[in-house]
Amino acid sequence: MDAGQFETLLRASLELWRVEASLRLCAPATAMADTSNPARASLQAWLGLADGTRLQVVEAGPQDEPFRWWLHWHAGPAVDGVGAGAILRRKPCASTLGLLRSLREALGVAAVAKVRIGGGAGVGAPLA
Amino acid sequence: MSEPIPVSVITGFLGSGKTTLLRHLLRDPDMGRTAVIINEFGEIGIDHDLVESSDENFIELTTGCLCCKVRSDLVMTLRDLARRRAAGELPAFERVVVETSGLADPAAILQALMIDRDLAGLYVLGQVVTTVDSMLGLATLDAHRQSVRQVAVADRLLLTKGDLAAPAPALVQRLVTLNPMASRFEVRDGRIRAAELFGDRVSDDARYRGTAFFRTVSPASGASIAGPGSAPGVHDPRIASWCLVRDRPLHALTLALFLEGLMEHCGDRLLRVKGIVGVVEEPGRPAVLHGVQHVVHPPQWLDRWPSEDHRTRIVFIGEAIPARWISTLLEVLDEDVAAAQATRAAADVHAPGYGTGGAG
Repeated sequence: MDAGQFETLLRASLELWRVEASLRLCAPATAMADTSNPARASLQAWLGLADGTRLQVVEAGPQDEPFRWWLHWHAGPAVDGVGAGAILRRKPCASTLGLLRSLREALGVAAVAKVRIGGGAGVGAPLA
Repeated sequence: MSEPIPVSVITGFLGSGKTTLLRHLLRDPDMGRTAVIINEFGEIGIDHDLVESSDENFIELTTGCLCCKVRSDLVMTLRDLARRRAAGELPAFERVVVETSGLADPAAILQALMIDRDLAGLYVLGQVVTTVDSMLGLATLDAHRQSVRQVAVADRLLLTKGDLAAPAPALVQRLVTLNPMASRFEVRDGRIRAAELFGDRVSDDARYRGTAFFRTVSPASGASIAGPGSAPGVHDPRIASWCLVRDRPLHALTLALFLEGLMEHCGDRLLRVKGIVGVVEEPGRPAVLHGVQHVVHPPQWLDRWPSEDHRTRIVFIGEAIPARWISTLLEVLDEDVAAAQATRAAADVHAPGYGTGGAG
């Protein structure tokens, strides 16, 4: 996922979930850089809600495998609009869908029904 | 095991001409051996008295609204019809037509049919036919959200009462915007041949459902394209449709993950998904997708592409769903899957015999 896809996916997810939140993409963090490929830095984003909830999405490094993303809950006000207080809680996510699910839960968006695989009347063989 | 029996649904807002349509259809010789289930909202049904039936048509009546309290009644009625047919208590009907109440949400009815495992193998979903009043349709769409949902899930849109007024261009355009994949017919006094709605033969129902719209949906037909790098497209304030077109095939795992994400996060706001998808692992054998809200059917695999167009095309009809969310999610998931498979392949090279069973 590149930075453009990352931002689009997060912004569109907030719109889809009808969540009012600020979203700020950070400059790639060198501290979290992929050690096997120093040119590639991790993606990061901050989300702030009106109730003070502050969340950080961080792309995991190779040392974190099999996890691909971290979701951090932060305490305290932002520092320089980016940093924050201590991390209250961290949650690893192993996939893009896992990240979306965790983020949605963290934002307090009501869960929707899980996917159901139809087992009733089929749709037939379209080309017999 | 005998062939599954197609179940088609006739829906449309109150007064849009469903019963008139059904009354004429039942006089059509092509409608012989058809069981009809009429659903009326209210304690006492009268629609069945307005519908003359030949001996070959069996009319079952449920009261209340199918999509709410008595949705299970439809499933039970269908089970019972199948049982009586198998026992020889009823002639071997070859089609079922369900007329919903004018207030019904047909998506909920389709879901009920798709989920119930007792119906598996007995029935197959046929056509969803939605009647729209040529004179009042536009105002109804503006005023009643349920009517918008009825249009959105249709395979066939019937502009009724053409004997009274020609449909306004604004109404036709609204229908195209809401549901570009549906075929549209103008109907006078409820008269249309059953074959036009349900196919020339009963068994054509299932064929139509699977492939017909792929021959007609294109950017020029009113569907907008939501694909990598393209604009979100036409939007209705409430319900809109998009057609995602992609030249490259998808990995099978991408398809499964994409459907999972789509259904999980869009839920009831995703009224319908239909698509034909090229899959990397099955070259030349596209998969047909069909989903209603958070229920998705296992893909149906075709032996070949139905036309020269071998691009993946997926039509979405939904309410307030950002098109870019859908297209970006698909891109990202396919990249994830491709990367995981490349990693696994590299691991297999270094350690043959290990790691070949995982999904990546």
